[in-house]
Amino acid sequence: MIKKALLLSQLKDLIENEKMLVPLLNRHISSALFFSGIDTKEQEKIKERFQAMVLTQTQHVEALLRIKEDVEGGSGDVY
Amino acid sequence: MKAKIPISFLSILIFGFMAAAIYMSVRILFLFLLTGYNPVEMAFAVLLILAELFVLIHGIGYIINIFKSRKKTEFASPVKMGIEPRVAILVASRHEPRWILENTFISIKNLNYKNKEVYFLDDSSDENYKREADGLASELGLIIFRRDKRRGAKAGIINDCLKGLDHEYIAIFDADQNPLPEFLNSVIPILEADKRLAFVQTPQFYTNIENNRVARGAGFQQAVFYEYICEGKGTHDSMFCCGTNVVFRAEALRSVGGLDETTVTEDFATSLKLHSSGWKSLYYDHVYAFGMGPTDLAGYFKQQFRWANGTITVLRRVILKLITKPRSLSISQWWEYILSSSYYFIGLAYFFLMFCPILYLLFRVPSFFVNPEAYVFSYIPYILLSMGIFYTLLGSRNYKLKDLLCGQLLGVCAFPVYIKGSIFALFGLKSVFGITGKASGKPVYFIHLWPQLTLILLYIISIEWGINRFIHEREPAILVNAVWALYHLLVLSSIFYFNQRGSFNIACKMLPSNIKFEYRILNDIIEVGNLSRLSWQLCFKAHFSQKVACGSLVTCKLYLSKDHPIIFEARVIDCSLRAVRGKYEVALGVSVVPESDKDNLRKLLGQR
Repeated sequence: MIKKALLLSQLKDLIENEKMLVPLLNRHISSALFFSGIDTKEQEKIKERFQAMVLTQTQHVEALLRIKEDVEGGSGDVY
Repeated sequence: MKAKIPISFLSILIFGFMAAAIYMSVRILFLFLLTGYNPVEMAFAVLLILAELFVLIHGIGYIINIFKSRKKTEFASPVKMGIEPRVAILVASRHEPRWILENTFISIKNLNYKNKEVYFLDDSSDENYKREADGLASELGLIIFRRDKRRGAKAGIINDCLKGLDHEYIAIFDADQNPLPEFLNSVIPILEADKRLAFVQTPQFYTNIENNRVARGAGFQQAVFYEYICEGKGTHDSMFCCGTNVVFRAEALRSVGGLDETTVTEDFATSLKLHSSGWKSLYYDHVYAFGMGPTDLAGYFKQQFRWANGTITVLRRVILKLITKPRSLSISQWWEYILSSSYYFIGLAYFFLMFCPILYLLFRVPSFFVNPEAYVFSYIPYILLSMGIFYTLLGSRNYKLKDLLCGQLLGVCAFPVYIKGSIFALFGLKSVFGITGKASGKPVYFIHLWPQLTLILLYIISIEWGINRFIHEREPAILVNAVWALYHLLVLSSIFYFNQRGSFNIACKMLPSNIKFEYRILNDIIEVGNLSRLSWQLCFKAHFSQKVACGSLVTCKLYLSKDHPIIFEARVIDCSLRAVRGKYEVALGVSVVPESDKDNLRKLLGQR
C-alpha cells in the first residue's frame, strides 16, 4: 500500500528518470563503444539497438504520465 | 581491460632502451667532445639536449608504469554491504548551464546506493544562475550549499561545506560528470577494506568525442593518461586525485586540513599532503562516470593552462619537501610526483625541439651536433622503436593510431599554453588564462594563436631558404633540418584542423528542393553543442527564411504526397550566420517522429 502523495512523487521521479537518464546513459555508452574495439558495423548495430531503447523509453514516459494523471484525478488516497 | 605484455614485446622494449641510450650517448659525446662550438651555439646545444633528455626521462617513466601496471591489484568485490556507510556527494558549480547540472544530478540521484546525500555547492554570483540552481535543487531533492565569501574556488567551497558534514566518505564530481548507477557500490567496499586508503580515483571518460575534434583530441590524451600511467601509479600509492570521480575518506581529508586551496590544482596538491602523511591511494581502472571534454581550443587551452600552472606550482613544493623531508615519501612516490609535477615543461621542450631547425636553416646555428650520418643512424632506431612501443601498447587496448595522433597533435599545438603556465608557476605569478567569452564549439580568433602561426610562418620561410642553401652548399645537414622543419610545419598546421566549428552537421544532407517543407519555430531552446549524433534519429539541412538560434525546437511538416504530410519535431543543430539570397542554411536533428512515418521520412531524406 502506498499513499497518494508518495505515489505521485515516485511517479514524478520515474518520469524524470525515464525522460533523462535513459537517453543520457544511452548517449554516453554509445560513445564509449568507440573504444571497444568492436567492428564498426557491429557498433552501428548496437547503437541502433540503443536507439530503439530510447524510443521504447518515450512510450514508457507516456504510460507513466497516463498513470500519474489517473492517480491525480482519482479520489482514493491509498493505492 | 588489462592486456598481458608478450615476450616479443618485452624484447622490443629492451631494444628501445638500447636505441635511446645509443642515441643520447652519440648526442652528448659529439656535443661535448667532438665539436668546437662557440658559447652561443653551445648554449642552444645544451638546451636542445635538455629538451631531448626531458622527453626521454618521461618516456622512461611511461615504460616503468607499463611494468608496474602488470602487478595485479586486488580490489574488494562490489558486494552489497550490510550497513552502507554514509556518503556525501558534492558537486561544486559556478555559472554552469542548467542542462549540464540536470544531467549530472539525475545520474547522481540514480546511484544504487541508499545511504547518500547529494550536495549542490552553488558558488554562482549571478542571480539568474542562483535561481536556476534553487529550482533544480527543489525539483530533484538536492541539498543546496552556498557561502557568503568566495575563497579558494572549488577547493574553498568544498572545504566550507565539509565543516558541516559528518559523513564517512565524500564523493566529488565535477558539474559535467555523469556517474553510472553502480559507482558507489563498487568504490565504497574498496575503501572499507583498507582503513589507510585516503581516496579511490576512477577514470574520466569524455563521450563528446564523436563530433568534436578538440574533445576527441583531449579525450585521447586523457585515455593515454588513465590507461598505463594511472594503473602504474595506482600500484605504488602514487596515484594522485584528479578532482572528480573520486571518493575520499572524510577522516583522511580532514587530517590534512581539507583540500589545498593555495593552487589551482587542489586535487594534486592535496594528494601530496595525504601521501606524505602516510595515507594510501588507489586507482580503480573501471570507467564509472562519463563526462564532456572541452569543445573548442579556448576551453582546451584554459584547462591545460590551469593544469600546467597548478602542477608546476606543486613541483616547487615537491622539491622543497624532497630536500627537507626526504623520508616522507617512498622513492617510487618521489619519482612519480617529480614526473607528474614536471610534465608540463613539455611545452618548453617542444619549443626548443621545434625552434632548432629554424635556427639552423636561417642563422646557421647547428642543431644536431653530430655529423648528419651519425645523427640519422642513431636517431631513426630510437624514434621508430619508441613510437612503435607507444602505439603497439595502446593499440593492444583498441586505440587506433589516428586517434592517438589526434591527441598528440593537439598537445603539441598547446605548447605556448604550457610554457605560459609553467613560467607563471615558476615565478609565482597570478594569472587567469586570456581567451574567454567564446561560445561552445566556436573557433578562436587567429590573434590568440600567434605563437603557433608565427612558427608556421618561420617554417615556410626557413624551408624555402634551406632549399636555396642546399642548392648552393650541398650540405646534408641542411636537408636533415629542412625535413625536421617540414615535419614540425605539418604538426603545427593541425591547429587549423582543431580550430573549426563543431563538425556536427557535415553528414546532414540538404533537403531536396522538390519536397514541400513547412516549419514552426517554438520558444524552447536547449544546449546542443555537446550532444552526439546519436541524440537524433535523423538529420538534414533545410533553408529557413529567418535566422534561428542553435538548440531551438522546430515542428516540421514534410509532404510525402499532397495529402500525406509527415509531422515531426527537430532541433536546430547548426545555422548559418549569414543569409544567402534571403535564406539561412539550417541543420536539423530529428528528435521525435511517429514510428509509422519513420521509414518514409528516411526515404524522403535519402537516408538508410
